[in-house]
Amino acid sequence: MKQPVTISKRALIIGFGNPLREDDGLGWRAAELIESEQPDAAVIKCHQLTPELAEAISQASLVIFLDASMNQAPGEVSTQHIGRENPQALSHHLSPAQLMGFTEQLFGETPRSFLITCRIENVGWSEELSRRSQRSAERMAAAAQALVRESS
Amino acid sequence: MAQKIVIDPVTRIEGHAKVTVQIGDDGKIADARLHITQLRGFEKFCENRPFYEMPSLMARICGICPVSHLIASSKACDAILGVNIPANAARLRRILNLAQILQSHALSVFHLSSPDLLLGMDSPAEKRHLFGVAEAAPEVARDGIRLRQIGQQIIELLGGKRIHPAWVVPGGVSAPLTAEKRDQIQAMLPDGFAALQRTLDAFRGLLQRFPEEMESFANFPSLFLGLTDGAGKLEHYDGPLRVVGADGNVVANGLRPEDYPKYLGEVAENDSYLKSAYYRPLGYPDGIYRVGPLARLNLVTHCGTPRADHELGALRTFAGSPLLSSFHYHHARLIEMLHVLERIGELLAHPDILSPHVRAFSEPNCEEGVGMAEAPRGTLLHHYKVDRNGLMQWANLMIATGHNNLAMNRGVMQTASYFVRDGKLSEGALNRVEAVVRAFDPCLSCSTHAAGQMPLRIELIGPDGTLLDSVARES
Repeated sequence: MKQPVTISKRALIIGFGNPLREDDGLGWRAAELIESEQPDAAVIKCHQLTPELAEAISQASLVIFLDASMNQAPGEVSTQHIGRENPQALSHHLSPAQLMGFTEQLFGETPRSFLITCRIENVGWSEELSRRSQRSAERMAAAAQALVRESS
Repeated sequence: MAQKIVIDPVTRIEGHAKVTVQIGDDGKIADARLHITQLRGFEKFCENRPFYEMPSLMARICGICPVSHLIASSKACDAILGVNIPANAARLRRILNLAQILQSHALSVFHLSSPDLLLGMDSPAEKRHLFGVAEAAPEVARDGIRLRQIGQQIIELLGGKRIHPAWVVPGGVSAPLTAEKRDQIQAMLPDGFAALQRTLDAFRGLLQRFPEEMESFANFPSLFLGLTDGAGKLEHYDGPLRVVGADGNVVANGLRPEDYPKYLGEVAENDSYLKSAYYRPLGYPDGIYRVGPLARLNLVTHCGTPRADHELGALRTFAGSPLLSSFHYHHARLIEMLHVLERIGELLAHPDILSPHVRAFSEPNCEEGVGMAEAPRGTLLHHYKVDRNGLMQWANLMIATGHNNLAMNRGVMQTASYFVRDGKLSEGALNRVEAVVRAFDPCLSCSTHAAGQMPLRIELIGPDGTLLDSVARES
């Protein structure tokens, strides 16, 4: 049964994107793979990052964001440490660094956090990833699971 | 051969609005108008679709209050089926609707309006947003996101997902509630009560800072309209409509939703895509009325739950009854949120809440159906006509923002007249004109989410049509 995610010093995986727009659902799909293979991690899938995620982040031991990218080399899985930024205004766009900054503002200390991305090409109307992005999702999930193992 | 259809420009953008202020020969403000500049088209493009698709399709109207459309649409479809849905299906729909009100009100109060209320109407625009609130008062921001989260989590538990759940269907709901989910929802309520009590205590302390806003924010006599239980108790899901006047007297009671064309009219003005609704017996525009949390509290003698009734009594002692200033929409939202938590607790405690009988099945038996419910922003109506095969032939939607359009326009006029001085617009005046619109929490609040950054243009026009001054804020 689907339950609201409760986090208590576990790794938190946040896959975000639009699963109705083909490869933009890459982060979502990678999060699904982790959900089925890594039951000790808490997984949230969402269309966009919102302030409401701050509480769950504040309770986690490690946070990994998974997203699609159009600004990196084809085939490359990028893992970046996320800094902290102060959001300047409320809009529909909140970056991982801004969300972490907001969480820090509200709850004080925040866990280590990473952003894992992979390049995508197609953002048409489809609920399925392209073959290339299906492979990318598997590689992103593997990279995230390695980080979870390292931190435990 | 594959074709690509390109729609350009995309007109369903996020709630861009424009305000024009007209200066008369005497140098005073003669008129002020709020223009809604986007077109949706749902009433048209649902034509010839099967009626049973409507709940899911119509829910796409909004990402903030999809549950409200889902419920009003399903009720219209219930009427087309010609069924009375099982009592437990109605209870479960009620819980979903209440959770929707909780998360939407939290968004309005905390994310959109708390920067004005906590930091001040004249505070620097670059700080007037939720993150500015988090910096100045993190406990308030924490409570805000927690309350919104509780509403969203209840929706997710019941409907399967937070936005656009498909659980409400013609004839009831698609699955009963389990004991495990009931217990999870019940476990969230104490946190919600605590957060709300802190907020209400803080809000009462803030009120003294806003005497001018209470005086000038759409503070005028009007009618108030919404659902009640028929006997004067607060109601959000079902029941007849009631209309009360500015003196608190009941103007009409027991109005049936399906008779709405007899007592509600709509006018399309040539400067806005948002129609203006009016109470037909008084004509247009004298039939101006307000809906939503403020109106709902003005319609009733009591909420019917102890904590909310206590707060309502305190508000009425402070501000009188009925509440005429739209500034009190904020306070009304907080009281409704308290009521929501209490009602959800009551409904979950019902002995039949886990009953598996949650859906009535039927072929369409009627060619017309009206569904009405209280959305967070006010009364929401879906009216459908179908052919013998159940294909949609016609739809009319009356949304809260349309009901409030005349009042919002008059409010913009009043606030602009009060705060625009010497023919000049200060940043504080601009923000207050936005804030009076924001107090109604219109569904174009898809645009006001960027508090202090709402794309807005205000123009001062002289008697000869000359542009005297303008202030623009782009997205």
